[in-house]
Amino acid sequence: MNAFVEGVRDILPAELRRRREIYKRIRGVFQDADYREVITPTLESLELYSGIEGILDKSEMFKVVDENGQILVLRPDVTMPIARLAATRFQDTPRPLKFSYLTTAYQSKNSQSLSLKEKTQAGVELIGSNKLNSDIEMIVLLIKTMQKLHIERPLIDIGHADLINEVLYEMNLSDYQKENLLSLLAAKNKVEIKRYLKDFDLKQNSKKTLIKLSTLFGSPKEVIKELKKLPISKMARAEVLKLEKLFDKLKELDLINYITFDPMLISRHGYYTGIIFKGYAGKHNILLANGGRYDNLTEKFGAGEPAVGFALEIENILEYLSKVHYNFQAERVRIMINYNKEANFKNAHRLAEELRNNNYIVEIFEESKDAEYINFQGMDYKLDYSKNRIELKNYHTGKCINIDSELHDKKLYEAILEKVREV
Amino acid sequence: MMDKICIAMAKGRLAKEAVKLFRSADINLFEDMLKSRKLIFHLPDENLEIILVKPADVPIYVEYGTADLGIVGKDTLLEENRDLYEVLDLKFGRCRFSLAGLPNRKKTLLQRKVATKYPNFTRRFFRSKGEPVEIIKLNGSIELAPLTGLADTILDIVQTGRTLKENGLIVYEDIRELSARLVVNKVSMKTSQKSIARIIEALEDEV
Repeated sequence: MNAFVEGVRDILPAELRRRREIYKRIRGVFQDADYREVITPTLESLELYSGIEGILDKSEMFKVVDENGQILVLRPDVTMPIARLAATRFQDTPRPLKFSYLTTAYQSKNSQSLSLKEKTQAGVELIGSNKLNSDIEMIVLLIKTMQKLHIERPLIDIGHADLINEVLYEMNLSDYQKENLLSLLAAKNKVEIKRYLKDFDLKQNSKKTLIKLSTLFGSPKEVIKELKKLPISKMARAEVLKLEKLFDKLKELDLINYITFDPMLISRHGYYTGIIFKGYAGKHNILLANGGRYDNLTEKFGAGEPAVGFALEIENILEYLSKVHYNFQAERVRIMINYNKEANFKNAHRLAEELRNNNYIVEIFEESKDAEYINFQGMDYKLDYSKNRIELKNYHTGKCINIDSELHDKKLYEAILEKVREV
Repeated sequence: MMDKICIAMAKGRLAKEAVKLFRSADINLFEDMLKSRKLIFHLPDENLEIILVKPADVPIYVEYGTADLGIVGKDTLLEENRDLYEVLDLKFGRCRFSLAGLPNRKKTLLQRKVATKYPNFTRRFFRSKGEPVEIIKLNGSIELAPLTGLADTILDIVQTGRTLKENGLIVYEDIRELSARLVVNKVSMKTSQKSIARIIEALEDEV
């Protein structure tokens, strides 16, 4: 039998320990800002995801058929279920709603480098506010989370979904032409844009704008300055001014050094309507987070309202941390207790409890285990508990110490704890 | 401090042209680097690293971010269809995608078989024309396919047309022009913007 499934994997103890620490830190940041964690079902109806342009190709979703013949999907993303939750379970609750999640999402095909079919995502959604300050809150929260995860030089690349649509709207193009230009602009493909525009009935000014847009990104200040020079529509200009305000505010918070601006940043998720952003670690080619504003998404459930959020890709964060060899904290000290004689059985267990209460990891065996096991478990100490002596051995230094076994209970524990620190 | 940039080059003719181009742009690659069998070159003075890979692998190295930049033919980019930024036409390695076969092309679309090294591009091309064809992937000497009856049409890159001529084949249709391109990893473009912009600008002045 070949029980191997491609694109999924087991998470082993060492990785799980690292994950737990990452989860703890992320949850800490989310909780501190009062984003309340929710869990949505693994199975959702296919209809939830249909009719939303560009969210995900139906062929990329895992489908399951239930006993009534209804087609279900393994949730391919978490923003949709939370939008559903907000619109159906929290209609009458005061706004804004602030939710967070840490869960898995499933995709049968993955266009990003890491080709996992089951991915862990942690994120927040802020529903019911269209304020610029909410956009800023998201970016601040993302930077804060990345810092808590010890990501060096976090970089947030910001774009805007409406800006390019406004620019193209002015040019009276067909949907097909728009689609082609959008994908060329997203690929910064100046070569092909020029080629495409060559035999195009378009004002020279518009052509120049499109070519310029394909090379315009980087420092927010510079890009805004260049955008203002372009002959773009009033509506597009209004979006530029809004973005300028956003950058000014981020500067006020001393965060502008973490920010780059790419007016042609285009997301895979078609539901974004305003600001879009992606989080990276400087000089490591790993995408760590995705986010943006999606003001039309809840409309699907009969209650349209503005919303903004982001999601961190946990597997990518793990990959980054292992690339930079970062460990969050020193491992806890491991001790093995051997009690040798039945008479010490109870004492050994009481001693183990006492050590565990003091944050040591303790295993109890009647007889000492062999070197192979000791190495595999990464033991630091052995406590040999015989009737007439207690020997403490440090596996790293090989040093041994005897502890007065005439001591009892509390006094004995104190003596042992003291020696463990010493040896 | 400028970040170190890794460039993947398609081994062979394109790499040769690329080394020439870099040198003319005052980026100091070793003139004779392609004579050795080494696959990786460190250039601490330029803060560069060059790797030589098979043409079809360049887009893969760049998409995964192992290389920040890549130099590769548009034919490979169209076939691999990877998620990259394509920023510069380097103008060398010029050729075109063409359909070719024996003279007296069969009129019927039924049972048309197309042999090619570029099955993904071929599939997209015929789908966009709405023509159903059977695609046969070959790894070389595509011209043999019509001569041996394996296929009636080939889709291949044509430079001068000499190989076709010598094998008694004619071009049915030119599909599009091709040339070498400079591609950039989408994340590197943002995280190492200054270093990459410096290279792009230097090369842009020379092409």
